[in-house]
Amino acid sequence: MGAETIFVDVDLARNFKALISRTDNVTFKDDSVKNKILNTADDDFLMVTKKIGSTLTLLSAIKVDDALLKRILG
Amino acid sequence: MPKCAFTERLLIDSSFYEQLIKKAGFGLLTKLMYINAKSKDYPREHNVMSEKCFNDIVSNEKKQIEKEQAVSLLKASFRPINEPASIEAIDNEFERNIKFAIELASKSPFRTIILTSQENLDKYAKNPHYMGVKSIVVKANQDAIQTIESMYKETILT
Repeated sequence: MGAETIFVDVDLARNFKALISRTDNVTFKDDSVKNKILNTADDDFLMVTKKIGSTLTLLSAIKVDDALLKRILG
Repeated sequence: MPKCAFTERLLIDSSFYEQLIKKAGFGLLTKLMYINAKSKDYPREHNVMSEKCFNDIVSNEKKQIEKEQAVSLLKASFRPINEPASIEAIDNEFERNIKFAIELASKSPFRTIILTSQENLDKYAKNPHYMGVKSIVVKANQDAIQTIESMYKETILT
């Protein structure tokens, strides 16, 4: 079995929602990750950590705002 | 999702990032994300930066996860480009950016704006590769910010 790969994706919440609604192959670390994505406004950006192993798992979702940008890039 | 057919692509230089985006508290970065995401012709790569400049920005991050987060956030705002390789190989940032801008403007929408800081405006203007080129324009400081604001407004109205 190949190694798992973890990476970060930044995109509009609407695109992550589309991913969730259009495929059965997405799993979540826990329900809070799914709820965070579904409860975020379509036009807000999310930073989502993904894991690809035998399936795609979304590990975390954080709303992109000025505080997050400052913390990571400042 | 409705998309915007922008009339210019944006090329961000390192001084614009360091002196304007960072100092303004990163609000401009979010606006660049919207422009990138809603571009009809170049979704997620409407705004670009030379890969050399991009790598310099993220090279300070020590932890791998922080570096990866920084790269992903920046890529959502502007894509690093390294092709044509002959352009990316140019050491002088001004010449490199001018030539990337000219190459970008060889395709629709046939116009590129280089965003820079005031102190570098003259360095572009006096560069021999910029003289007489009509498909690219260089904007600095408030003029550059105004361009982002105006394109961002288009994304809201569309």
